Amino acid sequence: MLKSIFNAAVPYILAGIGGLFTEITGTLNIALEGQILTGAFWAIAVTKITGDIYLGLAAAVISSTLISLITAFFTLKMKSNIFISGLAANMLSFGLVSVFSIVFFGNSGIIRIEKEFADLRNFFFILSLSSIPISHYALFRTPWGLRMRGCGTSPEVLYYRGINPDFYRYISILISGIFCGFAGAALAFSIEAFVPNISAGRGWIALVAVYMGYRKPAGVILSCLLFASAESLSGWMQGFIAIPATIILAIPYIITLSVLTGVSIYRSAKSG
Amino acid sequence: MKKTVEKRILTGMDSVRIIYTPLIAVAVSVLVIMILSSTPGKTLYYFFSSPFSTPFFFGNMLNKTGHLIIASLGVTLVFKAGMFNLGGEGQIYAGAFASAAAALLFSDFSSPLFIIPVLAAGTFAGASAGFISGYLKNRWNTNELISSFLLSAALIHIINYFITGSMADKNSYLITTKTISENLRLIQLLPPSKLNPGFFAAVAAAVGSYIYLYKTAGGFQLRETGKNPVFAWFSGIKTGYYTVVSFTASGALHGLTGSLAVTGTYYMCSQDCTAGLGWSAIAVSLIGRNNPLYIIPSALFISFMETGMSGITMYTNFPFELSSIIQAVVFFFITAKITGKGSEYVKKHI
Amino acid sequence: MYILEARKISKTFSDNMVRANSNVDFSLTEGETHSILGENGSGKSTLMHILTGLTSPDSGKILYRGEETVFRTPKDALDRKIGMVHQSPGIIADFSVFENIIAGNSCVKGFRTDLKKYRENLESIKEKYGIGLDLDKKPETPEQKQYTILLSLLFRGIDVIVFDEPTTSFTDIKSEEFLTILEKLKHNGKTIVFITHKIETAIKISDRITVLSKGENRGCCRASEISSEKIFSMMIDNYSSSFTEEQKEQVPKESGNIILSAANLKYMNRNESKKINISFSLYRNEIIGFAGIRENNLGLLEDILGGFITPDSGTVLFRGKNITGLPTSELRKEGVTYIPSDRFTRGTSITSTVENNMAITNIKKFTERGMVSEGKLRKYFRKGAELYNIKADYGQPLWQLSGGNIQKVILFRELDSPPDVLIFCEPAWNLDIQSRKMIYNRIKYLRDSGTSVIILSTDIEEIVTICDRVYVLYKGSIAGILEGNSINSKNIGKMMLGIGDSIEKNS
Repeated sequence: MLKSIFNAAVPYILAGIGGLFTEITGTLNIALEGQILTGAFWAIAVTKITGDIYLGLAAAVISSTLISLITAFFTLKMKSNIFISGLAANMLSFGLVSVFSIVFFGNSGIIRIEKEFADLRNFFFILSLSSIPISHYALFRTPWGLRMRGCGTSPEVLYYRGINPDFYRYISILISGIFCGFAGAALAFSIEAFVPNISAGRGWIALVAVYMGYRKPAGVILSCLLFASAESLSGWMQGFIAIPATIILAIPYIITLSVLTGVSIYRSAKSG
Repeated sequence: MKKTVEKRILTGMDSVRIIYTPLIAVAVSVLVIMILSSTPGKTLYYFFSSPFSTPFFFGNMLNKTGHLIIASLGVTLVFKAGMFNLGGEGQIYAGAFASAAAALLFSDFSSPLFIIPVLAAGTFAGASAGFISGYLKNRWNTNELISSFLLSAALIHIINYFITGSMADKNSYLITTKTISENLRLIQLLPPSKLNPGFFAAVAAAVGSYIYLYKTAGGFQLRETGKNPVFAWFSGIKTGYYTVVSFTASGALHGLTGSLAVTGTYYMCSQDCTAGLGWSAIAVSLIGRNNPLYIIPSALFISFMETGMSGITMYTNFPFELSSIIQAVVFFFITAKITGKGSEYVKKHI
Repeated sequence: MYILEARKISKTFSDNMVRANSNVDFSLTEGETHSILGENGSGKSTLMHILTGLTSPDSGKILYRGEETVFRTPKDALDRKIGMVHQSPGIIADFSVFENIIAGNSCVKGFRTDLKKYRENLESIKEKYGIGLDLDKKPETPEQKQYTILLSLLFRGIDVIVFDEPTTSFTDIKSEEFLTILEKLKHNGKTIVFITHKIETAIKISDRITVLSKGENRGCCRASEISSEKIFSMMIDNYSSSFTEEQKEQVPKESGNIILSAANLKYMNRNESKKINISFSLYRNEIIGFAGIRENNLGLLEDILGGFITPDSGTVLFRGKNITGLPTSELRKEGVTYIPSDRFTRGTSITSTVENNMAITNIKKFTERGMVSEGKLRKYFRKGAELYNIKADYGQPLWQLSGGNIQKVILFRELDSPPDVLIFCEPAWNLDIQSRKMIYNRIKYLRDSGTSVIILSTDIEEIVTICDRVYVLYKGSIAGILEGNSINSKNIGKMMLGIGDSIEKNS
């Protein structure tokens, strides 16, 4: 049970940490979803073509980072509305994945591979666990982290002191690209296949986890574990009660909404 | 006097943008088609001509425009009150499903008047979803962006549960409810297209929303709440009321969009039949600068693009998947500030 | 050769078409203290923003050590060791002084971990210049924020430091402290630019003085060779002293004449040290003032009196009626009007139009069958524009107006039907001398025509000028009440800092 929670949590945590970096610099990156999708596709596609899972992993990270860079370019350089360019990045990811799927495999459906992923599973597990202390240290203990956080709260102050906030925002979006690449790969490798719409709202949920976790790495991870528990719990419950699979998909959202409401009731009671 | 003239020009720039952004979008799509298509000339021809080629395409384009107008009015209303409704997808789907359910319930009645409760059911479903987010925001300051999105995502799965389960049409090869009876469908004005009176209702709704927002005391107070809630409260405006009402109305408009999609276009509620409409509505609203009157051309434009896309996938070998790439590129460029210069960080303090 | 020189600088803001600078020349010798004198809106801040890279001029040249230079961003100026301390500088929210300085200086590498070294360095700078600032506390008052930025600039090794109206919100004692620091900076070879509208201070501390008026340079001279009268005439064109002290009727201080009173008003903030615990009374035809430091308690008192916060205990009585905890809009209906110190978030909606800002508190009056009547709005707008001489067009967004005109819009809105009690916070916010006099006269006129006024201000001079009675706040309680000729800046300053309670009377 616990193991299945952690397995389910890995993609959430990785995407959540990616989202944390963008949130902390004040960038609402809704393109996480598309980045995960892209990462998942290229992980499977390259593994299938080359037979090397590590090349697949590298491809996942690189492709997801490229998508994030496109978003960064349009929001920061071209000053596009961040929400719209995030939507665009998600559409672009979907379009590119479908097109390449047709080019490589002749259809845009499920792509299966048969491989042993035990090593990688441990790698993802360690990566997601170690990302807590590392990102906490980087964001809360270093001058770099101070600047990243300053970007989110008072970008104009940094600008006044000769520091370009856009530079740090680029970096944060880049980091989110890398983490989402890992998240996508973890997701695809865990089911040994790529399925259209494999990300299934995980990018959005990761963003919610960032909000719920007070923008602190530990909080983000706790929220991600909550989602994962809800997901596993509903899967587990299926063994006892006859709940159809479709309604189970709704449960993580309902639980999160309840927690979110609970948190805001608690907060408003505290502030009087 | 010169001073005021220059000021007018500066504010006028905003309306100029509404004209040039679509131009950029068209230019970008032409470019992408020329790069991606193996027969660019033919593809381009169908891209531009197919929306006007047959009554079927033309009518469907207008019909789609109507859906986009109503949904993006919902987006705009909340935006004017200073918030953001990210739950459009779910609210539209809920409206569609509720209407389908109501229509199936009334299928034994022959009077076309029963279309009224059918539409009302959808509107009410959307409104309820919107109300929850607005209420949470007002009562406990729950982030409306997240709550509306989560609720919408949950709704979509719950509706899918019904569509795949107890309400599924076992005889259809689609995952869908049964089709609604003919007397509960909106009349087709331009057969075989799905154009129906809903389109004109949408245009009327846009004009009505404009009058409400810019001419009435209620709209005045709603807008002031959105511009500066603290000052609005200070001035004696019931800001909480406008928070809840705008969100509920937004949900209602989204729900109505879903109802129209079922009663006027699909005649059933199949799985994901309205998927993407909510997101497009946000884009329409942003392109139209959140002004109900600008939303009409903006919706027409997005609808034209989408119809053009389906035209080229139908008439040429241009794959359907590529069209989402074109749409993505257009979205990237559509709010880009080509003429922008200087840093946005300075203004705040000087 | 000058360290920094500006030649024929012109700048017009495209937002509101205000010509802030026209053909301004300015020069700075290494090691000097140079004051720039001018009214609000004379273009002195704009000139300095241009010289520190915050804005770029429309035309004109900037020379750094004789070489033509372009400052695109503040970074370009900082790289040439030119920095600015703003009046209430932006600091990064929730960061301590130390974190602010580390985050704001790119010379500290991103992943350096031996931050101790920097801390020692900062401590030694603090000692060298006598800057009293706790590195681990969050800067809260404008003074702490200014010192944070100053420390940050010194840490960077800046040579030219521009101060923008630094002492406006300081008490006398704090101003003295600041001037000593300035002295030490000069001693260590720093070049200082001092923007101010206080002529006496400028003459006292500077080597040279440049006077700006209406965006133009009115002359530059040695401080030792000029009188304050001469400077005054350079600053202001045709100044008429319309400010006359009238003989006022004293209303007897009897309980029957009390219009508004507060008894044992208490508020404790749950997690911070902010608290209020006061009683006071306001008589008919009286102006009382509350002097204090905004961040500590004056802001909190404003929130309570203005109806934004309900106090934990205590009562506010208005004409014998309990009005404790009523929201602002209800207070207004009762006849107690509140003009907030934060004119932009509470007092106006700057993206709305001028007439909307005027009509918003009473929108029903402009509504016919649910529709807002544009005719009535226009009429009302014209009335306000004429009465208060507001330079604005119907339909113009408020942010395009100057500070003075925004102030007038607020005054017209709140005073159109005269209130019984006016709670007025920071009356001189963003105003030049002449508009300031206008406001002060207006307040006194209101008092004489039947409105009682409560002033909340951090500007001590202002309190001294207009108040009949002054309550001085210290740590949330009343440190003393001053009346008549014991109202002077020395007494208020002392009480505000909680040192000494001996009252010195003006002779």
